[in-house]
Amino acid sequence: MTAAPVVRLPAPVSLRAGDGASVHVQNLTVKFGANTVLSDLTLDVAPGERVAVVGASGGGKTTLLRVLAGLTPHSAGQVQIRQASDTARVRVMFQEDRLLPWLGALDNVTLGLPRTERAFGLTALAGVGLADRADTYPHELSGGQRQRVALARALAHRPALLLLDEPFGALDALTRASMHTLLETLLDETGATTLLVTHDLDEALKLADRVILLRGGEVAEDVRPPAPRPRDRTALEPLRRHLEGQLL
Amino acid sequence: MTQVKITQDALTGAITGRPAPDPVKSAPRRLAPHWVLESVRWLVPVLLVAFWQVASSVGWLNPRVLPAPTAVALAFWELARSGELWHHFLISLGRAGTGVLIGGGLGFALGILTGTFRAAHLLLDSSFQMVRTIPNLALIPLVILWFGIGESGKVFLIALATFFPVYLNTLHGVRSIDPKLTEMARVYGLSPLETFRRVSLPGALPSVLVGVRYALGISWLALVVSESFGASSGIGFLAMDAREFFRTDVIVLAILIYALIGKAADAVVRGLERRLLPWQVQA
Repeated sequence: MTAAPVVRLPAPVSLRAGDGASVHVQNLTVKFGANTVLSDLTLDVAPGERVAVVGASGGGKTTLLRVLAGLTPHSAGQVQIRQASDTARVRVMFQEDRLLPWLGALDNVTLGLPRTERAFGLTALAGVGLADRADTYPHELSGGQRQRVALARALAHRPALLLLDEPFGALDALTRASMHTLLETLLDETGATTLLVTHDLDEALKLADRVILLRGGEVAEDVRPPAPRPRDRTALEPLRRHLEGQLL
Repeated sequence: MTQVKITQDALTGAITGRPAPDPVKSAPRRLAPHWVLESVRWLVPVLLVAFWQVASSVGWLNPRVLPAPTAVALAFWELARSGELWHHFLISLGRAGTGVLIGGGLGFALGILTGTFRAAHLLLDSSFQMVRTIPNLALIPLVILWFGIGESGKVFLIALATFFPVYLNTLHGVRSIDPKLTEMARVYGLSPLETFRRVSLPGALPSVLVGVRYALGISWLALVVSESFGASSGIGFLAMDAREFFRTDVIVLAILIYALIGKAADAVVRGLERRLLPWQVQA
């Protein structure tokens, strides 16, 4: 099975698809058996806002993301994801690339896209700098490149809500830094509401408008880093130290 | 180059008092050209055949026990020229092909079914596993009673033998697909049918092909068995018929043909794997 020949429509210039979704989470409770992972959590995210969710392992960060993605059922409470114009499209970028090994990069990116939107695949792939690797199989790409393809896949769908589940956790520091820059540029372009789950405080403070710290399944901190992006690390140091104290 | 290097070996030698290994000998060995290596592989078989020929020629081997290789070649020529060989060969090929298509096809379909649906697995799998433990040969009397000694009994035996390798490997292939990939498919808006077509099926394919390869191998085994009773055509019949007339040359020829076909079937599946699975990391 060779990768299907790709019909190359002229690629659209922009990945923007209207405003981002608004997210309303009210009194959300998630239990796994006797174990309460999220308890009575309330959270509102405005359209286009970038929220980082931090917290120690087992704090419920990933569970919150999975509930928003519709992958984990919740026991109680309400979750609403709304977009003004349309049904809100929610897409997830996972920690692992989760690319299909039998598809080339572009076919992976356009997976699940309606026929009329296939052309966005090439725009997204070009956006992550891999337009020339369109027919390359995942095993022929480096870990960082695979994660860029995964990012392109999420963006090609032009989601109203983009959920990032520790997407750079498995990358080396240098690759991670370049992914941060790339993500910022692309998010500026798409305007999607973004929820980034991470255990890396620096990452959270660098990329997000708002940092939420989860502890014991509840919101323990909800802060906005003061400086405009791109941010100077030294200006963030006091906030960083405060959050670090909350984490321990 | 006469430059002196202190190697780790020389250093160790100096410390332990043992002589350092000769640097020329420990240099990476250069492999002989490809054709030399290939011919070495064939050395033993060729020598064996040569010895066999000599042993027959000088009379050490009774032709009733084992005919000379030249006699086998002659039998091949004789049967090929009369067209008899192709007739029997095609009939055997047809039987094996039909059996593999039916058995393998059912194995694939049911493997997908039980691999995809928990209820189907619960309902069917243990029954299949029970039937699997029955040796094919034990069924022969029953098969003769059911189907007589015609074609259907032979095809049935081959289908039965090839069902299980394809079934088991398809089931395993579908079940071993990374659930993270199916979850991704769900998040990216693929319907269950699309998920099956684009994720489960290609993901299971390598394992399915392993099953097909095994099934093809086993189909020849079943063919030999099924052609050794009540057959009036086919390679197996050729061998059985030759036995009646003490034509050991034809018997050995039939055995050789079985072996060559098995080898060819294996090559076909390897070719199929290369074509269908270009994304698999080549080892």
